[in-house]
Amino acid sequence: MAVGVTSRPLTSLTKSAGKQSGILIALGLVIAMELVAYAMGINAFSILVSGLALGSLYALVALGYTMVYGIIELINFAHGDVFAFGAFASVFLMEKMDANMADVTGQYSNTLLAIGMVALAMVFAAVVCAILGVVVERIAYRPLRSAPRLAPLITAIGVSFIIENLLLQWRGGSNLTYPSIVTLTHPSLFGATFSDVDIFAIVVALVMMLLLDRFVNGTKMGKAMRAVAQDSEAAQMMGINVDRIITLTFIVGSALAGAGAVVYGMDLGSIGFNMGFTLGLYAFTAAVLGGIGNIRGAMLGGLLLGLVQQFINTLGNGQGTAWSDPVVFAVLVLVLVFRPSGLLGAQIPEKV
Amino acid sequence: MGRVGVKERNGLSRATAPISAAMSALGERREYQWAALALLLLVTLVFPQMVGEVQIDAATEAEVFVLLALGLNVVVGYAGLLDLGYAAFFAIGALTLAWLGSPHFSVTSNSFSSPFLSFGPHGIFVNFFLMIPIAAITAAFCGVLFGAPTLRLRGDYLAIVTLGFGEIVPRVMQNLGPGNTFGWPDITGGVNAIVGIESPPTVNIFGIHGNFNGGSLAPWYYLGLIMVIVTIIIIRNLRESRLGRAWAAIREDEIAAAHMGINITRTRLLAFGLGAAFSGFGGVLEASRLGSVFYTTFSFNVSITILVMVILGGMGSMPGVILGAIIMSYLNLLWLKDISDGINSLGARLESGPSFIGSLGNWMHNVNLQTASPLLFGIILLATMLLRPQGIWPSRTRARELKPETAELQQEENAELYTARTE
Repeated sequence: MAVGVTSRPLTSLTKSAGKQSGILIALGLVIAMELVAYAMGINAFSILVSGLALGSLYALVALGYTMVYGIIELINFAHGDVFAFGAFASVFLMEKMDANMADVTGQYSNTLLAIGMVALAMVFAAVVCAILGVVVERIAYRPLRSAPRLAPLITAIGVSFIIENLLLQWRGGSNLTYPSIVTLTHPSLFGATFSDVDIFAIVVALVMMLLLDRFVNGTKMGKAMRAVAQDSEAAQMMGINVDRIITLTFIVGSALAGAGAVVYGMDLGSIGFNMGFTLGLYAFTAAVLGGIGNIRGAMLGGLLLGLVQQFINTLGNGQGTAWSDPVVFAVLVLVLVFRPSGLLGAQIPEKV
Repeated sequence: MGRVGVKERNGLSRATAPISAAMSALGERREYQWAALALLLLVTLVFPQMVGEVQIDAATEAEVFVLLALGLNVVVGYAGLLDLGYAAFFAIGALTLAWLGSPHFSVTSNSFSSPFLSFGPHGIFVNFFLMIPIAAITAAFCGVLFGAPTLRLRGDYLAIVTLGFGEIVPRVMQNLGPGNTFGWPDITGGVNAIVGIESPPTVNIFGIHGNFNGGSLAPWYYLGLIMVIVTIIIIRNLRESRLGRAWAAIREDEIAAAHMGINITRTRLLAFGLGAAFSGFGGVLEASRLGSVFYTTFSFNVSITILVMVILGGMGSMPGVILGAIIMSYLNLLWLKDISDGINSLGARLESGPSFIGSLGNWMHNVNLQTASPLLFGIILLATMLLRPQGIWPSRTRARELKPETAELQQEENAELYTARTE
């Protein structure tokens, strides 16, 4: 395993230098895209807002990948589908609630009620996802913890298929329209029109990331989490219950995905049973782009990827949309090949 | 972890141990092996004479997947590299035939005709039997081209990179059709597919007459059978060769293998390239049999289906992988439908029953297992890895490589591998 790509020696030697250059690369890329957009007569500000909104959602899902990878070095393939499950669970809740409270269009006249509904849906989806994440870990990953590395990766794919197909059986193959909880306004700024859910998505993601950052870097449990990520054996000797920390990681990661799923549904307006697969791949790309195992890296990677994707989507009068998937995956391949430690470098060492 | 707990957990492999022991005892005797092989060959040869066209069609489709699963087994089972985008190479094999054996690209300036190659306004047609090696080489070349920069990556990163590649290829095929973004001519058929792909020419040697356009599907079946047998012989020889032993060495202990002077990247690259070559075989057979190439044939689901075949059968075990491929193809093509039909007709009878039984019957009447096949695949992947990671027909060579002297020791080792905590 030592022969494989290790990012640790590099990052530990040039930790701060690597970080700064990573942020500079990201900033340079964003400025370059904005300039190209401006030169082509596309509204650069509009790309910035919608890109950041999309990117915040990627970042929320990417956090789940990166945390799990940081702790047990597993690519949790099912994470994208846990996210999709959260979106469907929130729709289920709203359909039950709407019958009593919303008006004919499914919207709430009372702003306070609408905000409460959104918050409730986010909490509900987060709880459902957290439970699902823990169940998946118990069934599919824990029994294989000391098996060869490929084994849990294969069960992860299996779980991903199972969740995806359960959603298909539950709600069918066609996309669901996400309930419109609030009446959307479309504010305009610098000639760009965007939906206020875009702003909401950015704010929610920022708040959650700040909370997570405080949790991981400022609490005792977060400290235990970092200890397990660094060396689970040593952590165990220090009296940390490793299994409990792993469960906690799955809870936090999945809950973030669940809350993100509600914002995603509100922002994009429709959800489908197979959305977890593509979104999961995007989020994983974001995690790798930022440096897998690195929480701040996942945030940066998510935002950057969202911007890149929105930029490509607007190219060629919208014809670029067909190419955004290949470009995103090409980014993934290129980053893994040329800079496997990502933009911010992994803070998590590889275990040999 | 107490030892007792470990043994209890491993109950399934304990229960199947006598069967495995009996099977390996039977396998020890060379004569039995040859007799079994001869019988198997006889059955596969007379099979199309005894069944209808639907069965032959299913068997031919199964052969395509046997080819693919054998190829993926080289990558996953022998070299230990998880490839989640194997269908991409399947696509490349199929596309090669679609480009060089169909009316898709017409040459208006010039025309030429011979038994091996003809081109002109009617398209480009290279002889089908030449196309088999050409497609295999093209797929292998793409495998090497893609593998060269990526195979240095660690196992799970490689899995994701291959997954990305497996997503890119069908997307590009979809996008580079007629009226594409760049204003290029139609390259991959896009949503229209590439149609009119050539069938093999009529074969008439040694008194065997095979007409591929005669309505019967049997010639396709025999063609697939020959390709499968040739593939088995090639892979068997590869496995026993210096290269095959190098694969085993890398898979078991990369560091030790590197210290023994094995060039890790080169050896992995060869596994990747050779694995891709066999999917080129599969691609040619499938494209020619269907007469068309359409991008949805090569989706992520197909990559996973092939992976399920390898995992279910037993990574690194050729008979296991073949069995896995046959089981999964038949499930997909016939059995799931048959089982659904059975449940439906049973449900129709129960429907008139009292409340609970009636609603159960109604549900059973409308159940369709075919739409739930990904669910089944997921469960198979999960259950196999948890309960019997060595697959239904594990390889004895592989067991020997792991060096346990007896079945008992093997179990101890399994138990330690799969349930021991970090100590």
